[in-house]
Amino acid sequence: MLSDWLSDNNILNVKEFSEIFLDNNPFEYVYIDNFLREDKFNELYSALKEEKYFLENSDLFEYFKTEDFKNNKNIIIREFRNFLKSEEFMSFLESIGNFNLDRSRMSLYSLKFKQNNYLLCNNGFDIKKKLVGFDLNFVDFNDGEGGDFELFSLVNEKPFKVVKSISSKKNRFIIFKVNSLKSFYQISEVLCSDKNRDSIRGGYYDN
Amino acid sequence: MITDVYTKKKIISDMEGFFGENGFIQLNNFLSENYKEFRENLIKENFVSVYEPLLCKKKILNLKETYNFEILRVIEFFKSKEFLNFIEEITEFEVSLTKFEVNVYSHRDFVVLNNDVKNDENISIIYDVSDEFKEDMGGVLTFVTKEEEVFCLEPSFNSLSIFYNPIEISKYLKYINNRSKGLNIIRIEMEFSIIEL
Repeated sequence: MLSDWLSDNNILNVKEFSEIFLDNNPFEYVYIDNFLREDKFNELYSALKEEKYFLENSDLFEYFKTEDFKNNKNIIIREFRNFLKSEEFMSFLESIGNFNLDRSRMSLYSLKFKQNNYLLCNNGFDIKKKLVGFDLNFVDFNDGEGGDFELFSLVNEKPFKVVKSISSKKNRFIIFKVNSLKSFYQISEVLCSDKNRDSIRGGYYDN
Repeated sequence: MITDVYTKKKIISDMEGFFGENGFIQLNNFLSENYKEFRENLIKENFVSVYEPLLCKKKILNLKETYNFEILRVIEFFKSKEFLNFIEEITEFEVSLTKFEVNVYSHRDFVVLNNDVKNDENISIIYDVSDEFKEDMGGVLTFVTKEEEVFCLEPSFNSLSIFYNPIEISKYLKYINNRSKGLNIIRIEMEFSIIEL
């Protein structure tokens, strides 16, 4: 099943991803470029364009979000969700981060950041004990266009400043460990008007 | 310094009634003089950047190192007995100043909800000398309970806003996005504790 969805190189590079993930600062993360096979990526993005998004707006964020894909009827999205929940893929993730993931739970939805949308600093934590977060990007963003996934350093156990900035790139998959005390990140304001930062996001939970 | 109309007995009585009923009042064209000079000089001052990613991003005036006469004149007015009496008349509370800041908010600035438990009700007062903002630029100050938004305050030049803040009310300033293109929200932000009813 892995080879149905993932680019061949990525299946072989688990050890390298794991080393990067575990060594990275300010918290454990790795991003994998050309993550999905190109045909699957294109099918998935086409399917995503048919989805309904709803404005989410609070003191911390402003963006557009779909409902969770667990009851989604689109066949491509359902297949992708099944793939992410498959034993093979979850084992692949566990090999990268030395996790022990709950097989029965996963969140999966899409976020769309239009011009001036943003997500302020947060730790990605939720009350259901999310252990791993991920973000699959669909659109290339250049320097100065915003939409960056930004990681914070800690001083006195509080987020201090952005020390790592990861641009949105087509078919880039970012995996990061969720730790309520450590994994502080934000998505910077989208500054351009001619494209949206589209992504599929989700999380796996502690077993 | 206060615009004449707000010092008339009948108007003060009306403001008292409005505040008592709504817990809020906004007085436009609040100062009759010195506010333009205040604003012009303020923007030339050195502000200290404050960035606490989980709380706020803003610029704050270092009052201890502010020597400009035009600025100090207005600040002294807001710290004066005259202003205190004015507030006490409208709110019908005896109050004591507990916080006084001159803040500037511009692109990328924000204040998020603070989950720290407030111990007491208080009175918040904002004197505003902001640029003209549109709602889609962000910068709206929103008052909320756990259940709902109760009030939104947009920037408004030379206005004074007075709020009664019960314990259950929190507030946040919406992230200011780049539609604001160099505009500033500039405010004197004060808090008063309520000594007695």
